[in-house]
Amino acid sequence: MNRINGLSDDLLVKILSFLPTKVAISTSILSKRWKCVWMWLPRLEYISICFERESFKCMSDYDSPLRRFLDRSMPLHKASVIESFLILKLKGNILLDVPRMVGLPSLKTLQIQSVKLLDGESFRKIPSVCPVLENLLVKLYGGYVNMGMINVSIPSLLRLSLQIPYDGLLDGLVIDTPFFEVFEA
Amino acid sequence: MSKKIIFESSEGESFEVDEAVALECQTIKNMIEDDCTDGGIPLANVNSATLTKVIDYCKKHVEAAAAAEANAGDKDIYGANKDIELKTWDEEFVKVDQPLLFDLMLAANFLIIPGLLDLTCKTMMRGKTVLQIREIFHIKKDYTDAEEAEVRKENAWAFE
Repeated sequence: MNRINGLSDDLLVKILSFLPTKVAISTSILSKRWKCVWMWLPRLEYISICFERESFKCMSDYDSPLRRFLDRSMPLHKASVIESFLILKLKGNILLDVPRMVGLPSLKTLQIQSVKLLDGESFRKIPSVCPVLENLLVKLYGGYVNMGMINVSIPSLLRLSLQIPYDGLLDGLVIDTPFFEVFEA
Repeated sequence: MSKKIIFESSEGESFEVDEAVALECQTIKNMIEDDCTDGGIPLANVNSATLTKVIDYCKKHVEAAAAAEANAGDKDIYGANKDIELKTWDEEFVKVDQPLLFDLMLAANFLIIPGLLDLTCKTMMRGKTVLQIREIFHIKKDYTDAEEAEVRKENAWAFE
């Protein structure tokens, strides 16, 4: 009895949508039918836990599984075409190298927590990577690392939450977003 | 006396329910609005066991909604408790065997009962590994070993 094969893709996607992202994606090895079902998921959580020393590797090493996966899956992801809603949360001591990340054409919500930006300049590159970004939450990394000048110039942005820890260092902050609604600091 | 609606299961058994309960099903709601429910509604793809459960679910949620409305504006601890009580009831409700859960999901999909569809979909593969999913749902591998290795490699992050 294989009743599940009789289900529509819509129902399969709905079932997968309640699973942790990794489990949902791992269903791709079940059969050819399942190879692409997860690609229709409207929401994916890329969670990668790693020690600080290795954190740089996670996102930027071309051979790291997460990196290879993001490079491949983001451009292929079908839901981003039909569904403009996509959330990316990055948490942990991640060194973020924005220009090397793949383009996220439909990303509307980006949450970056406890991330060491390589420098304040990385903010400048966000619009070219995420042209329709509406919600941005950034919790800067402390530890007396100087972020330099932070320049948030994202034309599409509606909401910004910027958390600067007591031991975070900045040279300055410039915010330039025409359609801005909410700012939390 | 509220209006009654009669459902007929695939076995031909009749189930009489209050209109309010039937209205929980979007499909039936449309039929009631179009006034085509006289003489009962035959549900050829829903068996009696499933229909009994579906009606239980709709009844409970109609009662819960009525209770919530009665308490509206009264945002005390009881309101919150009722919410938790309904969630607990839902959790108990889907503690059924796999075939019945599957039937419930199909019925919720066909009758368009969003809450029940979410509940059954959520429960369907919850806590399962991909190996367990293959076993429970009898999904046959149609990849060659090389093809499977390729998919594993592409999505290696998910298999870490």
